[in-house]
Amino acid sequence: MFVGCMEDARVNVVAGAMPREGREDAARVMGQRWLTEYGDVLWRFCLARTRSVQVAEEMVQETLLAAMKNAGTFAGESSEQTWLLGIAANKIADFFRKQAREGARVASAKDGHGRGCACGGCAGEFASDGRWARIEPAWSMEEQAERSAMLSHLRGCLDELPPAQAKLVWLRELKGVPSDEVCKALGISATNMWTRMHRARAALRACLGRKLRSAHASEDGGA
Amino acid sequence: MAFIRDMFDVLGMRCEQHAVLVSRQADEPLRMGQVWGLWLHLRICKGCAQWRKHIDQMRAMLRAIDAEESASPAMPGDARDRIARSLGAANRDVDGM
Repeated sequence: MFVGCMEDARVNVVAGAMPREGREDAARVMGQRWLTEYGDVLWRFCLARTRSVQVAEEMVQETLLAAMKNAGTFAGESSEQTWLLGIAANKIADFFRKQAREGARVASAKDGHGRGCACGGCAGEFASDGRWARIEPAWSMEEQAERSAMLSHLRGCLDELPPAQAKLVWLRELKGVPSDEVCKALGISATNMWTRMHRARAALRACLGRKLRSAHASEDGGA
Repeated sequence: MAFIRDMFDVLGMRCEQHAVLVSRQADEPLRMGQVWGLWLHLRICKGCAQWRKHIDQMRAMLRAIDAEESASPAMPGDARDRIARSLGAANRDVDGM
């Protein structure tokens, strides 16, 4: 009943039928509803990406404020949760871009593949005739320890993706949002999404390969 | 006819293009001729078959990461209260609504 009332309110707001004060009130009520319904999902999403409680809180707040401001642009083509996650992904990507510009984020610089790097590891996969230059070895994940190590490496590789690719992976692969909804949430074409997703997957695989080789080299060196 | 054309188009591609198609297949269904062309290529190309396997493994791992994250603690009450207050105090331009 409550939700239905709010949806009715949104229709009126979109139609511009409300005076300014009414629109602001409706926006605040919607903001509170989103916080109640999606606050935990947004929180976990933002905290996992930023790994900072303070930044996650800031991102959730900025997401909901942006959603309140732009509620009229929500056409209902994706779910409300996907729309909000799309806004959050953009906010987090902007946050990392800003950090990279300010030079504050130097994590992952150890191997020269920090966030925002064009990732040379993605290049050189193919020979000039279009065939694979080399075949990546198979990944063994049968043992629990191997699987845990791979998950840890993959988390590190996610951190190293450029923000424009990372936000696609967050929505498409982590949250399992359907492709068409990802395109709508991020305002990109399907072709653009496939291209970026392919580059992101190639970058993730190259990164995982580097980390595995590095780990094996350490083990061999320690043995 | 389109089926045959699609299949031979895919079979005539270079691995570089097959890799893109394999990735795209993870995001949307391909046409039947493309599916068969790709399937045949993957039977004979170890590099592309490995790429497909790695994509599947990465997707499975990413789902596992999301499952772990989804089980993490909910938003602390004090953070929720602060956000609720800031939303309540928001006096922004809502003309976009």
